[in-house]
Amino acid sequence: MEQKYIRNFSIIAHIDHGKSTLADRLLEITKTISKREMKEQMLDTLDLEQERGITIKLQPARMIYIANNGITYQLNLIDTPGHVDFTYEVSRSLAACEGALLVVDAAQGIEAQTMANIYLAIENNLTIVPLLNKIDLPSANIPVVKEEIIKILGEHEILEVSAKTGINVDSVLEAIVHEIPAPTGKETEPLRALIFDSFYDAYRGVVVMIRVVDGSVSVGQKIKFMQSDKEYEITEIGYFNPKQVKTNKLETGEVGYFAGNIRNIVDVKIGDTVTEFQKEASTPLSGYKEPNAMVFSGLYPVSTEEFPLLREALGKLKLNDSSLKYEPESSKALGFGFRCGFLGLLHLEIVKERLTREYNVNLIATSPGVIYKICLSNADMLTIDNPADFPDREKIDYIEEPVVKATILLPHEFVGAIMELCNKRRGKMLNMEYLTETRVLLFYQLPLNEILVDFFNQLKALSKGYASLDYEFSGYQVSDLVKVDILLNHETVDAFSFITHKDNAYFKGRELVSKLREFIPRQMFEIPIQASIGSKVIARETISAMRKNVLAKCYGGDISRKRKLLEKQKEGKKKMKSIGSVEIPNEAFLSILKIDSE
Amino acid sequence: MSSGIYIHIPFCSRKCDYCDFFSFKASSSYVDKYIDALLDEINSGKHQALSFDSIYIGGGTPSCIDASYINRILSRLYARYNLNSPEITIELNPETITCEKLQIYKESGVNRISLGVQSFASKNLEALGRHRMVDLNSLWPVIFSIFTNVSIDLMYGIPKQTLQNLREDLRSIPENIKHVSCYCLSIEPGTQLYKKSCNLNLPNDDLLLSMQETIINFLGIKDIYRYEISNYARPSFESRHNLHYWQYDNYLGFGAGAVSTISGERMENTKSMLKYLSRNYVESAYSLSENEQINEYVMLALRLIKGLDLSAFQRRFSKEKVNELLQRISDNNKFFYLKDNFAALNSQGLNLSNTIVSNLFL
Ligand SMILES: Nc1nc2c(ncn2[C@@H]2O[C@H](COP(=O)(O)OP(=O)(O)OP(=O)(O)O)[C@@H](O)[C@H]2O)c(=O)[nH]1
Ligand code: SF4
Ligand SMILES: [Mg+2]
Repeated sequence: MEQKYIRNFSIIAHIDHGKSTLADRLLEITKTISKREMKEQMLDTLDLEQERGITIKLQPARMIYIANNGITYQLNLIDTPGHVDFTYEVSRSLAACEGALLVVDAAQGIEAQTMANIYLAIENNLTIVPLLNKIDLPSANIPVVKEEIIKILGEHEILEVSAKTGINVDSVLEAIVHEIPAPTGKETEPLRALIFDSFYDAYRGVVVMIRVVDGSVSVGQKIKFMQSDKEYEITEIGYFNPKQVKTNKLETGEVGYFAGNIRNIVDVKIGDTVTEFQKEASTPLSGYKEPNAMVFSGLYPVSTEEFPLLREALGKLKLNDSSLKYEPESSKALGFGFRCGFLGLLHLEIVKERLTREYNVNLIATSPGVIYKICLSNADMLTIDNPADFPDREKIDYIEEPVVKATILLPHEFVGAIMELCNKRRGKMLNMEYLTETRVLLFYQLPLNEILVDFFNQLKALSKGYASLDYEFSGYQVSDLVKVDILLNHETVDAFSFITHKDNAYFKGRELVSKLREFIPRQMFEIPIQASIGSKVIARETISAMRKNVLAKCYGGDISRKRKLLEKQKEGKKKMKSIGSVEIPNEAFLSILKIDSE
Repeated sequence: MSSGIYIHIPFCSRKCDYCDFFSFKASSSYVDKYIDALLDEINSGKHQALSFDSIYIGGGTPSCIDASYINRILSRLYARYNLNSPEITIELNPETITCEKLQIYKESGVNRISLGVQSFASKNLEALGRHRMVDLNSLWPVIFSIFTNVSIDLMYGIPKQTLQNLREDLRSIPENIKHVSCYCLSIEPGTQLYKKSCNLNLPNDDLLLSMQETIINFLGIKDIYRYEISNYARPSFESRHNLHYWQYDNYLGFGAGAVSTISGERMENTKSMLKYLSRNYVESAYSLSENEQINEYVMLALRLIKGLDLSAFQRRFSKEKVNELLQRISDNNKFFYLKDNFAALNSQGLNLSNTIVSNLFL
């Protein structure tokens, strides 16, 4: 299609403001999807997304729309996630678009990720089309929320819609056509297409999702990845509706995918530019700034034989989740695994779930941590993301921990409670602003490791669910940190070690020790469990020895059954990890290391 | 080497709450057909070449059916099999005992009786869902006038039971008893007790172990020694039949649900009455692998207080297998003692035998 009839846009919003539901209506009105095929949040194609009711992955869909002026347009929408951990999905989507539909829940108003996403759209030079959603709700507060939007975006026309009931959604389509600019790529120049996502398909190899910026691309063409310098011949081209629909060609300004029997997954890099082989563009597109992993955890296969499977699965998953970082590591307690970097705890949990569901690897994840910088007495600097690498205390001069700048948006009556929470988490207030008379913006500097666990839940609980949080990495600060080790029967279990602020060590040590006591079954001897800092024990519990496990009877008719029973016990034991002669069932590891990702 | 024969009589007057045995409420028409099928099964004469020195008639409650049936079964066995002055045991329920029945048993060849007493206290019986109308005290003289080799089954670890209460049960055991089986109650899935098990008020492990100690000491003083995890006997009155199981000897089973094991071949009879009555006796027959045999051997032999006979084990399997076993035993050595070529669990080991035996498994 000619560029002037193409509109590319993302739908952005805070979590749950109705992006995916709005996308449903757009797909429906444009008859991209028939009423019969329609289901809720159609673009949440992963099972995990449907189950949790949240979007995790960006998802493109092409629609054909005949506008009121009689002209037929091709609209390429990209639905995006709202959770802060998946901001990278949003920025990649925005780079493939000229505009963004900004959805704001009329009952909730502007929230922290609304702001964050607005700034992202502005940085990408996109035209923002704001709209109020959920106007059908009795609690919708249209004038106030409009005022909030105008405070941030300036004077603007703001559509009022209900994605659920469909009220006014037609006007959204008209606004897209009239307000969002058409792409302005150079049709006759050599091909330049931006890779904004990819995934692995067992039959076709890597499937690469692209936005064609200049030139065009068709089946049979030889292309080259500019950054990885690899060539392939295109075997399939298509677009999303949201299912993959094969076509012959993607033209300037269009969004779609191609496959080229790419088996070597490292050849495909998100943000790389695709150009034509032997007719190469002179400069690549600017690509993306790779996000830095903020949270680290060791992922280990539950059964050690699954290590190669895990390695392969991580490689394939990374194609579809380029923010995931991993490198091999080993643990005395858990064997071989990978130290992985994530954008946040929800990201960690989602990756774990996807590895389990999509690749069938059962995993244990060690306690999540952050990157610390340690200055040794000899002035050497160490950077560690694994408690196992924490040096002896005597050798340490000082330690720095990462801090974030947190933006908390909340109704003013909860300010007191939330400030108290932030103070408890060692936060430093940077600023406080009134967005409107009743809505307050709090800016805090907080240590990242203080907000990883249970911060968000607390925030929600203390504000009756009204406070929202966004944060970004802001630097390092010196801090009084210690490493807490857990000893089981006098042996350190590396998988349980963690680094924490000195003031929290005692409490967290106790908590973990008593959890262990609960989850480790009695064994044939008494097991002391200790938490220690260096050689100083800060918490202790004991699992008393099992005293009785015996079958009362075993006669001729019972033998097979009882043998099988004991064989099963033996099999169960094989599956346990043995540490300091203590057998720990995998369920115990899972329960103990279970994290609350909010 | 001699073997044992087991006969299963799957009938009871009513089902007890803790029972997970294969048994039905007896109805006379059924019983008659069943015994016919059973006699036919015996007639088929499997493994006739073996010689047998024990017969055990168990259930269910063999004493709840007419004693003449027992007579017919035993005569059929005598006719069909090579019996070598066998120990012949029958399980009895106190309420089904009559002088006539005992006489008939005796005349049929029974020389040992095993009495399912479980407890002498009505409170305990109630907790077990077992009811008894008979006065045991008046029965003892009758029983002992006919049989000298008498065993009783007792149960401990009964809901709400105390040590005191257990001692009273032990004191009620008649002086001239030859053998006592003392089982710790275990709540098996599918039983009535299991359904109620959350509010049963069962003794905890520490109390159970004290009970066990109490039993060992009490019976020991009376010259009744523990020879298996749950079995006690005066010297030379150990159950010859049950020893066959624990020493991994061959045994033949007849009746619905009965199991036979002959040199590593296991045969399991059907538990479906319908199939059994239509003479489809065998449900499954399979060979045990060498490892399975070794595991069973170890599991059973270590139930005995004297332990596992290493030379017998070596004869049956091989020198390498003995060494392998000794290796695994040495990894668990604090629960064992080795003496005169026997490897036995010590008292702590016996209490944990499931864990230890599964450690030894191949
Ligand atoms: N009443 C009402 N509910 C709506 C409307 N739009 C969406 N919802 C509901 O709001 C919830 C969240 O909708 P989604 O479309 O999943 O929101 P989202 O913005 O895609 O959420 P994330 O992708 O997780 O950020 C769902 O329960 C929707 O049914 C609306 O116009 N009115
Ligand atoms: S008498 Fe024995 S077999 Fe019969 S129901 Fe009671 S416990 Fe079960
Ligand atoms: Mg969504």
